[in-house]
Amino acid sequence: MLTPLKKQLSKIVPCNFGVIDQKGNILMTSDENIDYISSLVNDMLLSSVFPMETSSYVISRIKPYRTNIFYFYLEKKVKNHLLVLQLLSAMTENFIKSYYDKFDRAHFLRSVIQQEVTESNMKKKMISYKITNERKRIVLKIKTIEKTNHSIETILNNLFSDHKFDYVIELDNCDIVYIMEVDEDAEEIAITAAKNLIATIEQELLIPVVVGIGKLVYDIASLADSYESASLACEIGGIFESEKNIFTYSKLGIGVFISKLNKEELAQYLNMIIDVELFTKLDEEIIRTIQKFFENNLNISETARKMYLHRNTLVYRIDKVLKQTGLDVRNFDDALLFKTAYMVKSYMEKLNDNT
Amino acid sequence: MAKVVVKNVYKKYEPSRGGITAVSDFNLSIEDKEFLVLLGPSGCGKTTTLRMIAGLEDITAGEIYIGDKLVNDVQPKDRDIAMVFQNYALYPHMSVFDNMAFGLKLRKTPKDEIKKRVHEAARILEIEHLLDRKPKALSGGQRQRVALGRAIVREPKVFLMDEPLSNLDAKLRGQMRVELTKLHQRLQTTIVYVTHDQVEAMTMGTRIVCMRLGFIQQVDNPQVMYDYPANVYVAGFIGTPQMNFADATIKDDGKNIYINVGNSSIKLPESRAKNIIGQGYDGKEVIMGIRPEALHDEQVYIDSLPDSIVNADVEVVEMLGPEALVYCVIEGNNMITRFKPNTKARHGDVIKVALDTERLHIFDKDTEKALFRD
Ligand SMILES: Nc1ncnc2c1ncn2[C@@H]1O[C@H](COP(=O)(O)OP(=O)(O)OP(=O)(O)O)[C@@H](O)[C@H]1O
Ligand SMILES: [Mg+2]
Repeated sequence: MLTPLKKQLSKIVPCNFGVIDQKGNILMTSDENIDYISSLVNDMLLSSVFPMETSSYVISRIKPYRTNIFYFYLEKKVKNHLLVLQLLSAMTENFIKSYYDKFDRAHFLRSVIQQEVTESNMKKKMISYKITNERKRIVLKIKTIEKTNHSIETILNNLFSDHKFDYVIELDNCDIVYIMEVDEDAEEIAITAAKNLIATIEQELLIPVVVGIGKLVYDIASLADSYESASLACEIGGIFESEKNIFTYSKLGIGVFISKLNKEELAQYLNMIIDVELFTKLDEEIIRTIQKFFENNLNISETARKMYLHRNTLVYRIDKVLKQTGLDVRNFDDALLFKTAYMVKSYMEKLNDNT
Repeated sequence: MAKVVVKNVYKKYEPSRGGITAVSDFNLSIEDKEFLVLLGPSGCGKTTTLRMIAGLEDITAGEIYIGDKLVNDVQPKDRDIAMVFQNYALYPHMSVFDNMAFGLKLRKTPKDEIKKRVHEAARILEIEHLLDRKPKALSGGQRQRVALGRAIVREPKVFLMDEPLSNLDAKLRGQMRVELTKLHQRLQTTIVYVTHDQVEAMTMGTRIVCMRLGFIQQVDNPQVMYDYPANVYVAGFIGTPQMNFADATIKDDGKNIYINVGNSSIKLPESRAKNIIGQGYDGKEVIMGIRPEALHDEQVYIDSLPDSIVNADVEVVEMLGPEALVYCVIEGNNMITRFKPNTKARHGDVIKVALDTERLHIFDKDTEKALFRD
């Protein structure tokens, strides 16, 4: 945890220094050769007055946080070594403090998301951690099929290290969530973050990743809500738009309702909106084409260009759908029916897969 | 450095995932050190193929070998591959060195080894002088190179790249095309590269795989694919402006082969006719194809190609500097020609145009396959 600090200090301090904890563990040292430290630890633990001096070292005690005590040692090879010691100890104390603050805040937010915090406790903690409700936040859920021994957290923490108020948290159920503070264009920002984190994780770890983007929330207590919506997005998005790897809660649309129906209701509904037999007969080429047509917002020219089809071929296929199903997907209403039918059918298949 | 062999591979997504057969009977042997490009329009199965080679997507049937090893059941991280995607992000607080080293650190590579590999990658990418910089202080092109560096330090047998340049602006994309070609020469490794951009494919690939609806249409080196497209689809997909097409009929009089388009009759030269003559094509309907640059309006061509002169109604002339694109109607078919910039053709003119019959393509009307390939 002290590596960044060490890097910083090494540049300015011309002699040996380091940090040791109460039990004599070395948390940081500028010198790889550490034989001399054990004698230092003995002296240190016996002393009750700080700063203390040995023949070649000065040592101060720092207490950044609650009951934890650390010791900072400095070789007496600099001028005004006591003054330097005090300065360096103060820097270190601040560093450790902010580290633990962030750690504790993350711990707190984790309990909020898992709904383990009472309302009164929440208020108290928010005050002590200086977390306010005045900011908008959004929860991203990162889903992989494999356990990764914290590699994902490490990647995310580094990828978003310039987002001071964001938190990466692993939940008890092994889900990894990323709590993002956002201003304007919240969803766009979240989507960009999701794209970047997927590409980075897939490139570094070579494991497939999907991300659910929860709803935008305006207070801390609602983070649990945002997390749940992100989970729902993964689950439902995974059924209806399986070719994607980012699922946004606010874009789930009718999928939310469809996923609440049981098998009989689904079958009934499908029969109501479409001739199931004819619909099932549509060939793959047609299905692909219509999918791309929807992806391109019912724009014929754009779809034809992207699929490298002649406009007339595309129109011919759309007409074929009309002939076979009675639905003219160029019209919004019919497109909606087609899409709904397709979604209901996929979901029924999914239920069949599971049984 | 390794061969990649893809044998009878299929990918059919489950019915609940749309049930689409994204890749069908894919057979390909990618040579060691090859820069192989998977090319085709949106939805043709490029990404799916690449992700199956990576192991990020299961295969429904078939076999994939990397090196001599069957990798069907090998985890992606053990396949000795590295991926490069369209999206990438650098760690903002880390130096370029640490950005490239990070993945190795995660995999607990020894420090000395990390140092060696990062410096080597930086040398190849010509970013050694940037190793101490933070991403903020880099240009777009430099950042892209750092992202490539992350893949290079893995020292993989195969690089798998999915449209890595498609988020860049046109100018940077042009630069990076050249960079990637250089990189491939220096790395001496196998690269499989996905793109929908035929210019990228033509300029970078040692071979191109042209795909459509999950099927391979043709595998060839760029020039052969351009000169001898296997079917109408490939012929139209490769080259801008597109190849011109026209419905035509073959006439075989026993001695010569003629292609009849509208009222014009074009005599095929010996070299092209010999494969067709006496093969029962007489009277057969075909699709004729001719590239814009194989149509000429200069007098020397008109004089030297007397057997293949047609009339063209000029509609629009676009002067582009080094060349002129002339949009015209030939025997009822809209065509584009690529003339010299000093062409005299103007809107409203009817001009004589000579077809370079050595470069004429003829496709079967039903199968859309090329009738002859040298
Ligand atoms: N995870 C998935 N689940 C279901 N279907 C998928 C999935 N991924 C891709 N497909 C479908 O498989 C087909 C091929 O998709 P793929 O992404 O491989 O194409 P592509 O050639 O990479 O296209 P693009 O240029 O748009 O990236 C498409 O019809 C697509 O809808
Ligand atoms: Mg793709």
